[in-house]
Amino acid sequence: METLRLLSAGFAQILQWQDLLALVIGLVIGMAVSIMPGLGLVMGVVLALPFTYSMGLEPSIILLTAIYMSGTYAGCFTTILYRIPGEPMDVPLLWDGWGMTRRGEAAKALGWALVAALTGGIVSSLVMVGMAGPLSKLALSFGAPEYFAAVFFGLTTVVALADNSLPDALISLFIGLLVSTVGVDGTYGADRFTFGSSTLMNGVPYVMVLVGAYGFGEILAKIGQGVKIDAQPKAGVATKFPTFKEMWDIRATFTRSTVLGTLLGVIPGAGATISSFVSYAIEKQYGKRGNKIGTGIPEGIVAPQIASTASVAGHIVPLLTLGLPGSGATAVILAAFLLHGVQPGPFLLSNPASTLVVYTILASMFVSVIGMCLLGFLWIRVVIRVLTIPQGILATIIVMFALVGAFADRNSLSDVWIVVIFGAIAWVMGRLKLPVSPMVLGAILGPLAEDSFTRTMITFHNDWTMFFKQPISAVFMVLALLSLAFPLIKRAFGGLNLGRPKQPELDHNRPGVLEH
Amino acid sequence: MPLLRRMKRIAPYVVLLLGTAWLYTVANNIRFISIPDQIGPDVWPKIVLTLLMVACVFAMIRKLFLKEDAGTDGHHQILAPGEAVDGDDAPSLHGEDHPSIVLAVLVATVIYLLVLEKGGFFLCTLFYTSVLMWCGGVRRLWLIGCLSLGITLFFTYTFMKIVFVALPTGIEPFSQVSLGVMRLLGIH
Repeated sequence: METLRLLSAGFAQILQWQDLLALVIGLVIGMAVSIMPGLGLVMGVVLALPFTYSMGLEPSIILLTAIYMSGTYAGCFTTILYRIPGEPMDVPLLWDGWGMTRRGEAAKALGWALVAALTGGIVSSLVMVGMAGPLSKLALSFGAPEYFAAVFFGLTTVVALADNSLPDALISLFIGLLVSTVGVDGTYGADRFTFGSSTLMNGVPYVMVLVGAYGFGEILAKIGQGVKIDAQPKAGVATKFPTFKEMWDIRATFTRSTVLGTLLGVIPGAGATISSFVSYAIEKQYGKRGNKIGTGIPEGIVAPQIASTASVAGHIVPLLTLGLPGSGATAVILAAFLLHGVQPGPFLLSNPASTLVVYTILASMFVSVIGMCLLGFLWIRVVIRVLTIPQGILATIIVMFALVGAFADRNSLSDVWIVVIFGAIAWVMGRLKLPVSPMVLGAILGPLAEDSFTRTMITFHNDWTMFFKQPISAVFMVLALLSLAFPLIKRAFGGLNLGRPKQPELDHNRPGVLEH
Repeated sequence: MPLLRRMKRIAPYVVLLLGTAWLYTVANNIRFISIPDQIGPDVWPKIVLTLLMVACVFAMIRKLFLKEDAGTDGHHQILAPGEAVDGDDAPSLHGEDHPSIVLAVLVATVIYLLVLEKGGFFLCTLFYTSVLMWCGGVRRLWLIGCLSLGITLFFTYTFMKIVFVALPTGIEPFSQVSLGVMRLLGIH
C-alpha cells in the first residue's frame, strides 16, 4: 500500500511541466537515435548528459530514462520496414519482422512490436517498482563482499553470454578494469599509472570512455566503412494491432519473454541486447512454434522486443536502490545523479524528499512506455525521416556533440583527449575483431569492483574465502563461476541456437552490442 | 596454416602481452606507505594485469593451434555490403573499407584540439566541421559552408548561453572574432 501511495505521488509529480517536457523530449531523442543504425540509445543518453547540467535532478533523470526506454523500441521500425537493425538488440527481430514485411504484413509486424514493447515495459515496471522497497532493504545488508560478488557476476555473465571468443572478451574486459585503476588510489592516495601527468592523476572518467567508444569510435567506424543507407521513407507506413485472440494464442511467449527480460535486466552488465538474444533463443528452443522462428511469425518479434524493453526497468531499479549501474545507459544516468550531488542507493529511500524523487522516476517509466508507443503509432512516418539525413552531416553533428559534451563536464580539454583516444582505441579494437563493450563495462564497474574487493580484504584480513562464506555473496560467486563455464557447457552439449544459419548475424565487434 | 599467417594473427596479442608485462613492472614500483597485514594499492592492478596476461597467452594458443572458425571468433557482419537475402531486393547498408579516411579524421581532430585554445572555438570548429563533412562524403562546397556555419553557431549558442559552458575564445587576434560572434548571439 505504501508503494502505491508513493507511486501515486510520483505520477502527480510527473505532470509538472518540466518533468513532462523532459519526458517527451527524451522519448523523441531516444526514437531518433535508435532508428539510425550505428547511433544507439547509449549514444543518445551520453550526448544528452551535458544538457542536464543546468536542469534539476528529476527532469534530468526522467529525460535520460525516457531516451533509454524509447531507444529499446524505435529501432524495430527500420528493422521491420527496411531490414536494417536500428540497434543491436533489434537483430533477432530482423528475421521474422522482415519476413512479415515481405509477405505484405509490415503493419501487422509493427503492431506486434508495439504490443510487445507495451507489455514488456509495463509489466516489468510493475514488478520492479514492487521490488524497489524490498531491494532497498536488501541493499542495506549488502556489504563489500556482496557488492564485489554482484559486480563479478555481472561482468562474467556479460562475457559468457556474448558468444564472442571468450579470451577476446576477457582481454577487452581486463583492459577496461585496468583503465579504471589509473589515477590516485582512493584508499592509500597512491599514484597509479599516472606517469607524472596531473591529468591522469584525476583518473579516466568512465563517461569519457563511454563517449569515446560508443560516440566517437562508432562514427570513425562508420566513416571508415563509408556506410550509406539507401532507404527511402515508405509511403503509407502504418501500424495494425493484432487481435486479442492472436495475442492470447501466444500468451506463453509473452509470459516467458517478460520474465526473462526482467530477470536478465537485473543482472549488472546484461543489457537489453543480451536480453533480446537470450529471449529469442529460448523461444526458438522451447516455444510451441520454435521450429518456425525466423520464417516470419509474430513470436520472433514479440520475444526479443518484450525482453529488451522489459530489461530497462530491470536496470533502473537496481541503480536507484543499490547504486549499481547495470548497463552503459544506466552508468550515464548514475553520472547524472553524481553530477547533481546525489549518490543512488538504499539511503535514497530513507528520507521523504529523495523518496519522492525516486518514485517520480519510477512513475516516469510507465508514462515513458505509454508515451513511446503512442508516439510510435502516431508519428512513425515522421520519425522514419531521420534516415534521410546524409550520413556525413549526421556524423559531424554527432562528433561535435561528443567532443563539446566531453568538454562541458569539467571545462577540461583533457576529457576531450580521453574521448578521442578511446574512440581511436575502439576503432582499432574493431579492426582487430576485439569486442569493445566488455572494455567499457570494465571501465564503468571497475572502481566499484576494486573498492569492494579492497574493503573486503582489509576488513576480513586478506581472507578471500569470505566471498564464499557470506550467503548472498556466495550465491553470486557460484552463479558467476557457472556463467564462466557456460560457453564450455554450450559447446559440449550443442547449446542454444542463437541464430539462423546463413542469415545476417550480429557484429559483436561493433560498440554497443552488449551494453544496452 | 602458413607460419607467417599464424604470426600475423597473434601479433596484436604479443604486443598486448609485452605492454602488460611492462605495466606490471610499473605496478611493482607504485609507492605507498604499507600497513602490516593489509593489501596495498598495487594488488588489484596486479591481479588484473596477471589475468590479462593469462588471457593473452590463452588467445595466442587458440589462434596458433585451433582451426579458424568464423562462427566463434566474432567475424560476423551485421549485413554484408549490398547483400540480398534469398533474392531480396530490400534496401540495405552498403559499406567499403577506408582506413585512410579514418586516419584523416583522427589527424584533423588532433590538430583541432591542439589549436582550439589559441584559435578559439568558433573559428576552429568552422574549419573542423568542414573537414569532417568532406571526409563523411559531402561534396557540395556551398552546403558544407552553410552547414559548418550553422553547426558552429548552434553549438556556440547552446553551450555558452544555455548550458553555461565557457568554450575557448582563443588568443589575439582570433579572440576578436570569438567575442564578436558572442556579442552577435547575445552571449555575455
